[in-house]
Amino acid sequence: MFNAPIPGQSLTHELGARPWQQPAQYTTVEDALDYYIPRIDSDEVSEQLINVLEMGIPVTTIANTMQLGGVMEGKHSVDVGMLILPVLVELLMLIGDAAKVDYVSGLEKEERLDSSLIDLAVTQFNEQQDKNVNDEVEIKEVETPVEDRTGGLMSRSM
Amino acid sequence: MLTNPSPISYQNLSMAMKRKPEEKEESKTTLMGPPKKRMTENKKDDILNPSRRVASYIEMLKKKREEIINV
Repeated sequence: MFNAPIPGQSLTHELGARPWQQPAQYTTVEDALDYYIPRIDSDEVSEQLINVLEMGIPVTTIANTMQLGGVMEGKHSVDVGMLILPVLVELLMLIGDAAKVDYVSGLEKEERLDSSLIDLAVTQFNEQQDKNVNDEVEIKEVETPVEDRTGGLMSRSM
Repeated sequence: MLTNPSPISYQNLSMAMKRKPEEKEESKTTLMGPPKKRMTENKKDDILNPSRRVASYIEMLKKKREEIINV
């Protein structure tokens, strides 16, 4: 946690010193995929990928990490990375299917609620209940006895 | 905070692939003038569109996956 970069640390280097601050090496979707596909398809990488998929790491997470690495190395821009993401996901699922791995795609909808969301809902519910109780007390205090009117609407007031 | 955009981009592209564009028949001649000349055709636009190009890759990979699963 304490090894994280401090705010503004990225500005301590000269502009253009980092690979992602240089013009991208591959500027089109085709060029970027021509860079990725042979590497992913190689025996060495595909074996490692299968191991990672067997560990239960979602395909989408792996694909995102790969494209993020490409951006950091200055291989392609963030825009091209976003465009090739679905292709990388599909390619990784193809490798998983070919190896008959029971992988987690990461595209499943989350049915489990986050515990922080539950806590927030309970807190809001309690606050709302307290507010309702206070309002009722105030209403009771404001209520005044209504005078009994004996006559009709058109009769003289007493 | 969104840290992994891949599920969203994958689902958006899948939705876009399911929705095929409707083809409209346009009259090639106007009422009072010579026939219109369009600068580019829709098909050429499709090829230039990066998302279309990505969709063609995905279609190819999906077919291969289906072949593997069905075998």
